[in-house]
Amino acid sequence: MTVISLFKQRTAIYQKQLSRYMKYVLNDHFVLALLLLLGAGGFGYSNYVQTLSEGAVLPRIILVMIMTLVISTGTIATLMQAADVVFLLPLEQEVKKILEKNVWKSFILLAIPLSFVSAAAMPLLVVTLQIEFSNWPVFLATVLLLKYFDLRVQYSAFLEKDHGKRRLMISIVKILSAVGMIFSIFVNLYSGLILAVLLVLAGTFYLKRFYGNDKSLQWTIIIEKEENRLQKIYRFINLFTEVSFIEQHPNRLKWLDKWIEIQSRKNKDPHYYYIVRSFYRNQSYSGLVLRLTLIGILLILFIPGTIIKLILTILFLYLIGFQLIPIYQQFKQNFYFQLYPVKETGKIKSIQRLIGEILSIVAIIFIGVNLTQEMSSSGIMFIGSLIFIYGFTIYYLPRRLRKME
Amino acid sequence: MSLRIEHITGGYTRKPILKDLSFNVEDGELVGLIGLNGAGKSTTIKHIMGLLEPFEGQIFLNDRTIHMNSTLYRQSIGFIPETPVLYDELTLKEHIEITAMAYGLDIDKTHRKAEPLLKLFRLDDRLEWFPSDFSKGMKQKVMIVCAFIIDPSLYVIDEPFLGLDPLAIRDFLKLLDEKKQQGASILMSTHVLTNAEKICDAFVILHNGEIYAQGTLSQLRKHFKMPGASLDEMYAQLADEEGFII
Repeated sequence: MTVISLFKQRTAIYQKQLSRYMKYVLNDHFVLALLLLLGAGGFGYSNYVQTLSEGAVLPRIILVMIMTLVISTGTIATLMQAADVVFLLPLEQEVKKILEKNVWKSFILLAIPLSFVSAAAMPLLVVTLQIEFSNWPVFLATVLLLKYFDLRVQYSAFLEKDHGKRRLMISIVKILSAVGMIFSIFVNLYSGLILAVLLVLAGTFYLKRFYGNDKSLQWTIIIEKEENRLQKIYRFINLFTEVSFIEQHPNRLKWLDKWIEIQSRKNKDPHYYYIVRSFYRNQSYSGLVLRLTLIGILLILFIPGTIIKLILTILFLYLIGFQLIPIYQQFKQNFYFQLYPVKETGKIKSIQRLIGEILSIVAIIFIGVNLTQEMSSSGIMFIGSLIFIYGFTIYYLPRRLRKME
Repeated sequence: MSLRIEHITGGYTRKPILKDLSFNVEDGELVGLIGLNGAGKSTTIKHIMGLLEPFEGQIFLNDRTIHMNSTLYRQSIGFIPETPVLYDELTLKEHIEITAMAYGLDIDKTHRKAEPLLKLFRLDDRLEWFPSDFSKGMKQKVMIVCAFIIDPSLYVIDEPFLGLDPLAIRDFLKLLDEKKQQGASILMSTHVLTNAEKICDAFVILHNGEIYAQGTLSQLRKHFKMPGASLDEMYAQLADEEGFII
């Protein structure tokens, strides 16, 4: 056994695991909902682009933000494990080589979504910059160079012992990506490309000099980061099927305590007491609702047509409600609920109540946002959400939850 | 040839947890690292392992720092962590092989060296098992075996007794004594004071990231002004003092 074969084995296991889980993710009717969403989004986007004229500023500012965000997402899949810190310590130099290789592997993998996003940005650029679509490769090359630089800095940060400096490096590379995008999107595509090339050349030279072979790896940081990365993936997959090795890192969110109290009112049910706190303090649940609500608000604001607004409202309520179902597993992870002298049905009831409440709040937000624009469609959205929430929580949920037992 | 810690100040972020720590572990000496939860024992160990870099001060192992030659430095340490960490997808046999590989040892020789240890801990018929199926005590035994087969000049052992059965504790203590006789330096952090008192040659008592007291048992008795007291009693005294601070 060598380090290389060890990591090869790890990669194989990792890929096998992911592809096995992907089957569950892609099989579900969730894909249909996503396609519908993509269609509605695409439709809204193309309508929106047609209303734009050359030199429009606001949409380009938004595009810079989106592109910077997309470039900064995605980290190096190091595949390091907690036990490495005990077993592989003396092999630091070999591990470094493998990590450097993994920078490239991750880059190639991340290049795929980046190509799609950069292609999707082109129609907007074609209109606002008055260029041809055939300029896409220039934009793509800029985006990819910036991503490569981002990963390169991430790797160097593995060698930086100072916590503050490590953070600074990551922030600086984000700012530089934003600057690159500003040049591409506001000046012209070539200026952005030139900047990106210079950045990669100068940056790589600098990083090689300051983070050379004499610096040692920050093992615990790398392992912690890899665990976080995997947990993010598992949490996503967990929305579709049960993943056994999920870890929870709750956020205290003290400022929500008052609200939680209001929401639980005088309820004395231990299930609800537990589940409502799990929901808010566990970002995989509350963060998801927040993200989907924000996307929903944007689509409802920008896409005209009563029927489409109604469909979007129900679609988003469905997405949120459906993806909150795995919160039921919280009860399974906590064995106290098998010991407490309480009724079994409390579990399902508490989830029904929580999801019903969350969906109602989201529906009120959607309708409220729409009220600022239109009165008539808001009424229809109200009736639609009422029927949906009632049907979803009273009829669908209990059946689905019983199946999960 | 030994571990020498000189004026170490360090921690995870910029806030120092360890403040100006200095102590030595000589060849053939077993030093117990004692302290309440949060005193800085594990942080000290992380600095010795080179997993954290000190803000100030230096750590010498056989007169070399980690920066002089990190591979050589790390090859000289056998580490048993507080909670056993093992690879889920490797068998016990493969754990021994990966250890041999990482420390540049001959695989066959290492297997031969592992044999008596595995037998001692009653793991010899479980070579093809995944350690993730083991109980906590068995996992801890695997960590012990993997540390002892590399024959390092320094053992760094973080709270080894939890989860081990009494028989294993006895055998483990015997092994430590053997290695000590052969000239290895051993640093062991523990809360199990009766065991520590039995086998440690000297103690370093940490409190709030500083060395509260260090020396042999008789030196400690003098320091605490408690003649004839056991380590347990002195420790209780320290805990009471902690109570006064808070």
